[in-house]
Amino acid sequence: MEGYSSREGSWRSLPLGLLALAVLPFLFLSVPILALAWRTIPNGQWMTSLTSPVVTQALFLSLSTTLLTLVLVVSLGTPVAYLLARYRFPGHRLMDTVVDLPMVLPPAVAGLALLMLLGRRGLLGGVLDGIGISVAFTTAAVVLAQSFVSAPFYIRSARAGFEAVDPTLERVAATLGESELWVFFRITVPLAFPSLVGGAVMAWTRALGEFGATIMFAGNFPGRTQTMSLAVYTALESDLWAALTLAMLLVILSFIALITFRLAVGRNTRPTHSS
Amino acid sequence: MLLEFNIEKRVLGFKLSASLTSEADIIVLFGPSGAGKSLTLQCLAGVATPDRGYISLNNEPLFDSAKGISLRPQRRRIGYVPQNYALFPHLTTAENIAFGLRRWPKAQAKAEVDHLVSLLGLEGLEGRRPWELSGGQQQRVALARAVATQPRLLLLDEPLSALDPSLRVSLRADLLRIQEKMDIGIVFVTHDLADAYTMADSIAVYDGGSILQVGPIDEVFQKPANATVARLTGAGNLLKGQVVVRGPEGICVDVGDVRLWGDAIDDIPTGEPALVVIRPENVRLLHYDEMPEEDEEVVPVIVQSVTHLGSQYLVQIALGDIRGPMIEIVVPVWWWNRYGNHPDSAYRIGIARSAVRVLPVSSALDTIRAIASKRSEAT
Repeated sequence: MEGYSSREGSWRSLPLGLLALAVLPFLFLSVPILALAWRTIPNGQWMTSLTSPVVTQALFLSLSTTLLTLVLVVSLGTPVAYLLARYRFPGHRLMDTVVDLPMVLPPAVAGLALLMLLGRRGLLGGVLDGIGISVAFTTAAVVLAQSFVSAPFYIRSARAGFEAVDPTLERVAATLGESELWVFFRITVPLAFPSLVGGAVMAWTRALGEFGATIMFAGNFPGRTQTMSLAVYTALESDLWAALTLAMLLVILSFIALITFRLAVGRNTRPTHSS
Repeated sequence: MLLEFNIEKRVLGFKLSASLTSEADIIVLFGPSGAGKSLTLQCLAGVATPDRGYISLNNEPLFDSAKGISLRPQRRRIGYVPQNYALFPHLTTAENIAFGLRRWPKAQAKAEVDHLVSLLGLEGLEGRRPWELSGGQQQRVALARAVATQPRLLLLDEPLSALDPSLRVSLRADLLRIQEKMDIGIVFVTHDLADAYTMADSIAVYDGGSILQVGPIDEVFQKPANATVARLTGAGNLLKGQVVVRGPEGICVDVGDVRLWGDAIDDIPTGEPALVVIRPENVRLLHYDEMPEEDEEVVPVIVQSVTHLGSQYLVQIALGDIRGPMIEIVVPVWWWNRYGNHPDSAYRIGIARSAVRVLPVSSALDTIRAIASKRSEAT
């Protein structure tokens, strides 16, 4: 029938060979999560673990630091994304590459790099230490580590979103007498909104799962720098039920984030370009 | 309206170098694509900045590189409708039109939107988004949005080129109506001769980044300044010849074995080479017993080929005899049906001096173009 693309085709035309090839990878991706749930939920133990200090402290710390990270990444990353999307200048490619770097860098390297900058003997840390400010191994360090590794996810997505907005729209808006800032918030942001939300969600999940950079740069102190990911790892040796409970919480949070992401990105399919 | 500019701008290997002074209400920037028309509009709107030069509207400078003046687009009060209309896709028709009216009192803004909606026949579409509108409706919304802020000048980039012919006619009428009603200047970019003819008070012919000629449309079409303008404005016949007589009564050019008389406009000495430009619609084919008018010269011709174009015939004729220079003319359908193919037809043409434009061969380039255009027509 006309209008049917192969992607939306009916299940009757499904190639069985391809389906068979997909079964094993799909199981590989889904069964471990099911195993985790199977080990945790049937036993009521997780309910008592839910209120244990290890879990509550880590949960509170993770939520507060990742939210702060999100605010930092969005507010400071948006101008960078817009600059990269709209303008070409000497050093554009370099800036673009450097912004992406933390995404491919091993997190432990990121943590070490932050330590070399802001640690007590670091490039800037020494100066800060002189005036009585220490960053490394504090809650602030957790936020910095999370921001460092998650910012590229937001900036990349926001940049792509801004690039998809026809600059002619902004120019016309300017001829109608409106300031650049107003045009940005009234035209550019609404049109790039799915990409902005999508990028923010990806950045948030990356921050939530942050492990390597945090443990290197912020340490693993319960209540101060021990986020959920760190607590899962630490509790595994002493309190398996706390680890399992935290892990299930992380699964749920990630799942919620993923659904938000899909809703945001799929929310509107209307063109962001004018005809 | 008094619009003056003289601007230069380089973009990726293209150089725009255009100057114009005009008091016309509707100025058409005419020329092939890539000639610099759209870039000129962007410079006027302030969304592109010239490398140097000046732009002034009613004696108020908008841009002057020498004085360091460059008014932001927000402050120019110039409405701009780009080629794709650039409607805000997430806003409704009413929100699009009201976009520039944010600082107006609410009731006044709403009254203005309602007024424009009815002026442009957009009733019932106020709540629709751009992608739910037809091309003609989108164009009208873009127009309404641009004029809502009461600009002094309206810039339209190929406003009709994406519309089908019947819609073009009605939108041309709308544009003229808005122009008159709002007493607003319009600069209109097009590469369509009919658009130019219907709209223009004054026309600026562009080619290769510069303006070749500016003036009232009849003047530019009938008296092109050079061979390129003649070619671009549809004066398809360019003949190379030699001046044989030059006097106050006219200028006579020998083309092949035929002599053509034109008005003496340029000062070309006798014996010098010249180009003769003839618009196809300015030549009258005479039937067997038809007399020429008083101001017409008569030239015997041989009809070489006849093409039915639907609303008229395109007839290729050789001047003088079968080896004479070829030109194309258009003949009304009724005329050809009645007098064409007449058994004893020995055709002649009547051609007025005002229809024969004699140009100096100002540059070798013009000659090459004249010959090249003849060749491409022949093949």
